[in-house]
Amino acid sequence: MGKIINSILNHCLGLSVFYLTYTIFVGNNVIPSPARRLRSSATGRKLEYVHTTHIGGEIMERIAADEGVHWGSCHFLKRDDIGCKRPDFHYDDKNSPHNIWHLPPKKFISENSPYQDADLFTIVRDPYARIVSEFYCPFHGYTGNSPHDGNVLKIPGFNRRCT
Amino acid sequence: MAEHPDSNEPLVLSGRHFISQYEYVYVGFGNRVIDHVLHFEDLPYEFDAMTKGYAFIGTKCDVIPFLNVVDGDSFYKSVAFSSGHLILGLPFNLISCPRLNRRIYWKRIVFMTLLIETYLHLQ
Repeated sequence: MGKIINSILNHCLGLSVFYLTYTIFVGNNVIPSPARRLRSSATGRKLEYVHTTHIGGEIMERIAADEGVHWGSCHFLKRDDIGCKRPDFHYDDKNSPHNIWHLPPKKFISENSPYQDADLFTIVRDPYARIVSEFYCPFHGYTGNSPHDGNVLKIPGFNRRCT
Repeated sequence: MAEHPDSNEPLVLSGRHFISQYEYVYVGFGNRVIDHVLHFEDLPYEFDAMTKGYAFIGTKCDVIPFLNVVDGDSFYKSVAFSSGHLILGLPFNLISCPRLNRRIYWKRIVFMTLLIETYLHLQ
């Protein structure tokens, strides 16, 4: 009986050593991903999307994800609702800028920017329509009791923020 | 609750939902950083026109680093993903990404074979 247990333990030990060695030296963090790049036919530069808010950005990300392309939040988060599963840029919710994919490109730290060496595109919208959409946003919009009262938007500097 | 490092920045208001659109497009006075500015009101046509100059280069099996550390427990994730890769990823990717597998898995298969051989020899 002792011999059998000894033999099992020996095998387990051997397999553990093998597995750990494999994990440390071969199984690195580089894994195959479905992500691919849309690149300029002329220059070869990748095309990246800069996600301004309330212009249908999630739809853009979803369309891209359907084609295996990472845009916007898909670079930083695994999002089942959009269909992107393999983020390729570091994002630590506690220490990174909040909603980093909404950060203007000029505010990005270069080493953690998907916009590096990329052609950028963004979508803009009539500022008035955009701010109405922001107002009714279920996440960051108005949550008070007077959603139809225009006076609630009279915050100093508000117009300047929303152009 | 801990504040985000940039919580004093005015652009942080409401999860960055109130950043002016010009902040995205321009740096300083009139220096444009966005190559293509599309308009929401005319998006389908402008998007089509823009993407005519672009194409998918590479395949769905391109390799990119997995770096996300949302919960900070990177070691756990690295080991978990490596094990998933070893047990499930290998046969799956052999079928779905043959080009990738020729490049990456040959080294792994040789390494594993050598280790198993050594292990059996030692037994």
